[in-house]
Amino acid sequence: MKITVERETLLKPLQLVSGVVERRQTMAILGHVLLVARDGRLTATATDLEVEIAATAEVPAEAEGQTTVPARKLVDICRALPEGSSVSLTAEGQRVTVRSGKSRFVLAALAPDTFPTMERLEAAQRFDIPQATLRELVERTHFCMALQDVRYYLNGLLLEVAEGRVTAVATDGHRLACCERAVEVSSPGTQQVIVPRKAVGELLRILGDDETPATVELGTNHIRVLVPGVRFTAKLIDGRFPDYRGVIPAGGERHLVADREALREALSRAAILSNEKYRGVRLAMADGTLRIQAHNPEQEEAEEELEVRYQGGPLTIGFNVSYLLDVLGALPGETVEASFTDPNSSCLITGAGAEGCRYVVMPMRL
Amino acid sequence: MIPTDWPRAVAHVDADCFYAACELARRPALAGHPLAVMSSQDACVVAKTYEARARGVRTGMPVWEARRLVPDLVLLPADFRHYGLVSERLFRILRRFSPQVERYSIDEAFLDLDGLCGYFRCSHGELADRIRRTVREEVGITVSVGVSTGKVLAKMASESCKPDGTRVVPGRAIGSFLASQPVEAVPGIGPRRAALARKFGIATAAALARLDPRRVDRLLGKAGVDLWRELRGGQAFPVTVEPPVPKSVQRGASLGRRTRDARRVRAQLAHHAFRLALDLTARGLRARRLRVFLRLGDFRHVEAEVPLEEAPTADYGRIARAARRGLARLWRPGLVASGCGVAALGVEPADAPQRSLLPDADAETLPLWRAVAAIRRRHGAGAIAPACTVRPAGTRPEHRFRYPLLHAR
Repeated sequence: MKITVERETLLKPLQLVSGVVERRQTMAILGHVLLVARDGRLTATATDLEVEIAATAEVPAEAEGQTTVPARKLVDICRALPEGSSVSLTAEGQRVTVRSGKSRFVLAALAPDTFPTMERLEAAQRFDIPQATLRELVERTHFCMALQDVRYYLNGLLLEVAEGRVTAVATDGHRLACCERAVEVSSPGTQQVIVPRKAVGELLRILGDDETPATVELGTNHIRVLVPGVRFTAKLIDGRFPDYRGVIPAGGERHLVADREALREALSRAAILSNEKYRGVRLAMADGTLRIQAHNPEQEEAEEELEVRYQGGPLTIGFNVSYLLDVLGALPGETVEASFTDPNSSCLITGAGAEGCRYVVMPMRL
Repeated sequence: MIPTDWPRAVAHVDADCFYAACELARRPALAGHPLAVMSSQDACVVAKTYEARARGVRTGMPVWEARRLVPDLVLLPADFRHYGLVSERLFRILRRFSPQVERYSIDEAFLDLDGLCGYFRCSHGELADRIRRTVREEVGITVSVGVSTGKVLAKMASESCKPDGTRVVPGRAIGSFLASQPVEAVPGIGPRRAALARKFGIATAAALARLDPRRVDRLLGKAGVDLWRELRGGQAFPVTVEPPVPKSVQRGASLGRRTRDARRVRAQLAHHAFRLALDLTARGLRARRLRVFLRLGDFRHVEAEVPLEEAPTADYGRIARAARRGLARLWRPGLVASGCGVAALGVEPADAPQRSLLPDADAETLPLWRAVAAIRRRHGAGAIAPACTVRPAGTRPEHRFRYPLLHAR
């Protein structure tokens, strides 16, 4: 295999795939990136056996072929080369030579046929969705995923596909985010898949911000997302996601409308003096005002008062302030609405400009 | 060093040879005999009376060695249930003297005595004597009481007046008291730290208290600075009534004899899992992970860590299943095991302030385990147990081995 290409053309696919490569691998080949030059295209593929990303660039090959190169090292070399320089890659046996100007690097290659790929996939469902829509579904929900929870099915994002709509849901058992979008999809029933946490992060890296469609394929064990030039494949979490509809409250009789930015700023100030472990803040609302109080084991205190629209009897309720801040950071609009039942029941948060997005946060005992 | 004699007042109450004293209290005929209590599998000495100590018996000594040393030594098997009950009675008495009692161990307590002299209209010394007298009369064991300005000094004071003594160290007496104490008498200063301190000429507790705090930090670290503050009459460790959440809770024991039989080990682990689950439930704790460990015939130690389903949980079923998964990962045919156990990790209070959004899996089984615990309290531990830990009909009990179980089916 031999190609000559501009540095930027080579770097772009490499950077798209290299996030998949773990710092420490169980198999040497997983530290490598597979390079295939064929039919005027160069495809770079990286995998950790759970997530695989293949990115393609238009590169005419001087000699077609394939090889594997240590991913981290090749990326670091390309990045360190001067901008706009021309790079040539030549694979001969167990060696790959990288040349650029007066620089020369010889990298150790592994046999490309030992590189594990997830080529074949039986898709039970296939639909197109604008990239911006899929990105929004993920961005508005992914922060609620659990982190290394023993309930492994919470360490991922639920994608639910039904006739005419796609829903993304994430929960860590304390809070939940749910975002639903109308999408042209025909589905006889409802299909649920759980995309693992790491794959969700990688998916966000490859998704664009525009209306060009992404093709989503769901198999029994895999999800595949195709965007122009990139093929993303991930193993699914084999488990049953909790019944999320059952925990979304219908909406209580107490109703609060607040300026999103003002509330976010007040909460982040109060958060400074909240307990480092539990991050508790006390919200006291009565007609027209919301009072936020926080204190820590050193008996330091913070208090904020905010003008809000509030209907319902006075209520005092405690929350983990980080959970509230996460929601306020994910919502786009100027105002947020929250509805409460009592100090022991969950609170439902929605926002202007994010129709179809619902957030549920469980309170803390005060 | 400090402006007043009693900026704060803390008492340390420590039972004298607690396990042995508990046995003597219910066997008054043995008074005056050298007596020792053995560990759970009768392997070594875990407690001894002052008579036994005077003749060379030490804690941790193998039973055969103690027997050879003192042929007329009375050796009793440990009865931790009984000691627990005696301890409960001891703490009930202590709570009459102060509402702030910290349970430091089964037989040790710290009492916050701030302001209580006025309430009881007596001096600290009289109060300590009254505690000792009440415990002796109502429980039948003796305790030593140290009273000083903080926990560290109170503990040193009680250690210095054992057995059955009172020592009061008010602020003005701290200097002379510390001068009489070697540096290793400070709790938290073990042989290594003491050796280090002596290299720099610090041989007594008083010398340590006189050091510049920066040198203490250099020598003994932050923990050392906290001790130093306490030695100077300050309070670095307040009396805490709420028991802290432990990092882990463990149950395990020797198998009594070596075995190659995985079923025996599995039954033992189920038994330990059961005790662990009941203990977690009783203390209002839950765990996220379980560590299963085996001691092998060649004294090697192997362990495996497995997640608990529906964690955090204190449910016996989930803990026992995790124990089996852990054992399956450790066990190889031909392995010889001599002991085993389980430890709950990632322990947290069951009533954490953050409420859960998803249904609580433990809520369903909690009433069952509370009822089981109540039955065991009332009718003994043998009254109810998981079937897999009960000896199958038609098999003979094993003599050296006092746990009730033999095989898991």
